[in-house]
Order: sequence, then C-alpha cells, then structure tokens
Amino acid sequence: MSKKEMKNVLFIMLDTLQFNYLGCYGNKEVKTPNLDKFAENGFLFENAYSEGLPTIPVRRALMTGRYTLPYGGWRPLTTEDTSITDVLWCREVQTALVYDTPPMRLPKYGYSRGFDYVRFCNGHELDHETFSNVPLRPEFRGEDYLSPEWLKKDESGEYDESSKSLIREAECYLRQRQNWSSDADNYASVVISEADNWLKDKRDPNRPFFLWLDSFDPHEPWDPPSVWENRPCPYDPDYEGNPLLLAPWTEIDGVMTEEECAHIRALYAEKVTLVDKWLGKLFGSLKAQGLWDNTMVVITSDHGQPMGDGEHGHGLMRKCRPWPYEELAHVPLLIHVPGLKGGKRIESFVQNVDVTATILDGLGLGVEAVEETGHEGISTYDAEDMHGISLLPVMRGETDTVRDFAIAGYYGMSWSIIDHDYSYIHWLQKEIDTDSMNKVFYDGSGAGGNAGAQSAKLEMKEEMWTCVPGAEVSVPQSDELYDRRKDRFQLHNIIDKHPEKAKELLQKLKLYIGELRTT
Amino acid sequence: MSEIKDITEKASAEYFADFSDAVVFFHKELCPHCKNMEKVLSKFGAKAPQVELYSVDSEAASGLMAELGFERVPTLVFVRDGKVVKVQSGLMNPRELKALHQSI
Repeated sequence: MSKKEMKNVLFIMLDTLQFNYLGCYGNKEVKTPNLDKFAENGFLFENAYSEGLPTIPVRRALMTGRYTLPYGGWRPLTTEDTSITDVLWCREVQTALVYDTPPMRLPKYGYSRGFDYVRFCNGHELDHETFSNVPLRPEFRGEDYLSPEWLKKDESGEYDESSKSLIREAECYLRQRQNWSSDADNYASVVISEADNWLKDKRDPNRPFFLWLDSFDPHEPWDPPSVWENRPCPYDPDYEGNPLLLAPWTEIDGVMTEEECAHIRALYAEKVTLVDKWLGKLFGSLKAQGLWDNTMVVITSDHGQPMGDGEHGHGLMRKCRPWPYEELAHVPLLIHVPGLKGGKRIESFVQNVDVTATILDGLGLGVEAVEETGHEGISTYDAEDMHGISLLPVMRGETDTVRDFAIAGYYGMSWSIIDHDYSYIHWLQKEIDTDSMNKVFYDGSGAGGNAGAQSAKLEMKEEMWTCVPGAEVSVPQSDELYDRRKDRFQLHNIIDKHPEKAKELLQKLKLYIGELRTT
Repeated sequence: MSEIKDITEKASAEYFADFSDAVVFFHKELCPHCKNMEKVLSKFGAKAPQVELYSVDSEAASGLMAELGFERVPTLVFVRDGKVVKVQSGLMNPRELKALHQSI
C-alpha cells in the first residue's frame, strides 16, 4: 500500500500496561486475545522503552518527538515545545484527543493543546475528587475495599491522616461505582466507546484523521468486574481478604504481605483483560466502518508498575521511587500498518519518541515537517529538531535496526542504558522518601499540581555536564550493572565483576544524554 | 562558517586582546560532554559566521583557567573587543548558545 492509501492514524495509549502481562509478550496466564491477534497480524516491538518516566514526561516525548530525560521532568507543555498538533496545524488532517488520563488534564499543563476535538471522561485517579460530594449508599464503605492492616488508628481511635486519605480516595471511586450496571461503565470501556463515537458520528469522513485515544486504564484503582460482581478474581480465586482497590505508595517491606501484592497483581491482570475486551470491540468497529484498511493503529504504554518484590517491583508498591527498572521502563508497542504484511517481531531497540515520527510518517509527513510548522510563512514556535525515527522503514523490512540501545530514567534522579547484553543504571538521586518524591518530582500533582514549579527546581547541576581536567572517568559505587541476557529484570548487580564494562556504558550513556541535551 | 582554531599554545588574556567577537572553547580530550559541545559550537558557527571560534585543551591551560575563574570543562569564554565578558560552563544546544551570545 502506498503512503497515499494510508490515510489516518489512531494512536492508542494504555497507561500503566506492563509488557509482560500480554500473551503476545509471552504471558501464559493473562487473557489478552484481541491484542494477541492484533500483534499476530501486525508488528510487535520486542524492545520498546520509554525514556523520561513516568506519565507526564512520556506524554511530552510523544507529543514533541523529543527526548525529555536530559531536559525536564513532570512539567507543563510550554511554548518552547512544538507538539504534533502544532505540526498538524493548518494541514488537511483533523485531530482529536479522547482521554481519561487526569495528569494530562491538569489545566495548566496544556497537554490537550491544539486538538480540534477534545473529550475528557471524568473520574479516574487524580480526577476522583470530582465525585466527592455524591452521596454514598451505606453498603459501600471505603474500609471494605482496603487491607485492614494498612489502616492505622491513633490513640483517640481515629484513623491517621494517610489512612483517611486512602479511605477518602476509595470512597470517591465507590461514589461512582454504586451506579455502575455492567463492565461498560468501567473507565476503559467508557473512554474507548467515546473514541468510537467520535469516529462514527463526529469526525469529517472526507478528511484524514489523527485520533489520540489515551486510556488511563489499566492504571489503578484495581477495580475489574469481579470486584463489583462479588465473585473471586479469576486470576486469584482462592484469595479471601478484602478487595484491594488501592494500595499505599510504599516500600512493601513491613507494610504489605506477599499475598496482598499477588492479589493486586491479579486484579491488575483482570483489568488488562478488560481493556483487551474493549479494544477488541473497537477493532471490530474500525473494520465495520471500513477504516481498518486505511488507518495505521499504534498501541503502546507509558510504563509498567512496581507491584511487589523481585521482578514484580524491586520491593516497591507503585512509583514511589525514581527506579527505572525493567518492570517500569520496558513498554509494549504494537502497530497495524494497512497494506503491510505483518506477523513480524522486531528486536531493534526503539523509544517512545519514535512513535511520534511514525505517526507523522503515517500521515505522509516526515520529522522535517517540524521545520515547516506554521501557516503562510508564520514560523509557529521556532521548533527544535525531533529526535524520533520513523518505524515504517523497519516494518517494511528496509532496515533491521532503529537504535542499538535505549535509555530510560527519571529526570534529575536516574539514568539508565539498555542494550541486548547489559543494562546499566546511573543514580543521580536514589535515596528519596515518598513524600519528597511526590513533592519534588511529581510537582505536588496529588494536590492538583503547581505547573512545573517543583520540577523546575530539579535543574541539572553543572557538574553533571562537565569534567575536571586530568581526572579519570570513575564509576560511582552506587551504580548498577546487569547481565540482560541472563537477568533481564535486574536482580543481580554484577558491577564489581565487570568494572571496565561499567565504565564503557557510563561513558556511552553520558555521551548520548549529552548529545540529546545539545540538539 | 567559522572554523574552530586550536590556540592551546598561545592562549592568554593578552592574546585575547586582539579578538573583537570570539568564543573560546575549553575542552578535554576524553570528556564526552566536550565532544558534544564541539558539535554545538560548529552548528553555532554556521549560524553566526561573523563570530571567531577558538579551542583550548584544558589539560595544558590550568593557569589560564584559574585566572579566568573556572576549573570544569566544557567551558565557553566569550570575548568582546578584547575583553572576557562571560564564562559559561556546561552544556547547551545551538539555540541556547545563539541566545546567550546575543544577550551579551
């Protein structure tokens, strides 16, 4: 099929979808038949990594096609950022954003900028307070959806502040759930159906489209159908405790049991299956509308989720530390390209910025389109070059390699480099408590965010980008090296045994991040 | 486009006195950041051909660096009408360098 026949692009972002929970990435237990079939007929990228983590930096990388790790963390899209919608301004293509991802919705953050059509679906985590004044029926109690072991009372018999906060958040979800009648009311079902409604009823059928569907599911709350239908979770049927709608952001040691972590993973897996079911309906609708043969469909995630010990999360529950391990940074990436014979698994490393270049390529534009941005000679934002590389050539078989390695990390806190043989982590700031992490890295986003003011304080220090004459390259003692062929999930640090390899990878990492910083 | 001329042997505050609008790049051979900054300087040179560009190997210029008040590289020393007017260490992209040069 020629580029001309590929008319539209549907980009599907599924927040917090860990790659190894999908059948097509080797999971034998979690049922994801629709995504598996999508992968079987399309292209599956074995080594896709998000670079700057988590939610917001990933959206910025995807919107701009530029790496964020050397530049900034959890902060708004600024006028210096040239987004894909800036590039698509005044072109034939119509643009739509249908989403329920609350961090993107923070008004001052501007991540809905420039879309012709925007539909936000309320209620998911961070937007749950929208429903805090809805009366809650007495049979719904927040405590019944949390582990009693996590809820602590003070001397007067009152719950402490963190327990109250968990109960309050759980009850905000219950205020919504009490009126749900089927799984069509789950967040993923609603946002996917809204995207389908735009395709069917609202778009101009005579113009090409770029639709960004951003589903916050399978992100927590862990609220799959079994929780509301009072039946055992299919992936953990013998569990007897309370459903675990939420969990604290915490190191698990001394706080949570392995049984609780395993149950959370089972509920999460059930959410993944639900997302898969509703994507199956969407794929069916695309085919019924005659769009499958002229629409490129790109599916990815921003990150996974730490949910326990070892490969499940290195001892964390949720993203309370800036730890860019495999379970967080490695993401699924699946693409359907009309007219291209699929069924191909691509081993090359790719990064989320490459998705942006691929979307533009699918719409008949190259990354150089950024230089033309504007209308009638008006240069919109003095755009900087995109870093992304289109994935269409590797899918067409014109090349085997997009990138030899990937990078990942948290701005100002951690950098890592991953190649086929090794992964290496360079810590800028590993030790930080949960409260400081929320305040400093996440820009106080639980309280609505303060438009990047906190993140801006995490400026890179001059020492990070400079050397002292005469000094040898030294590998910090806190850095970590892993044998990726034997230890993909980074559980056995071998840095002491391979100091030369560590030095080589640290140099390569610094050189590459510096190169990105200077382009 | 301006070439980056190596002046390691001659560099001194007196030698800079003949420069009207120059950027002097202090670097170190095995420094990865210096390799990146050299590319930035070349791109900047293409955008600002009137600016003279020079380089100095920091490992042979510790005295001059102490005199100018810095010890880390990469560092750019901006000279106008024979006088050092700005010293900037660390990385920047060509757009930032252009803006910094214009702001002086």
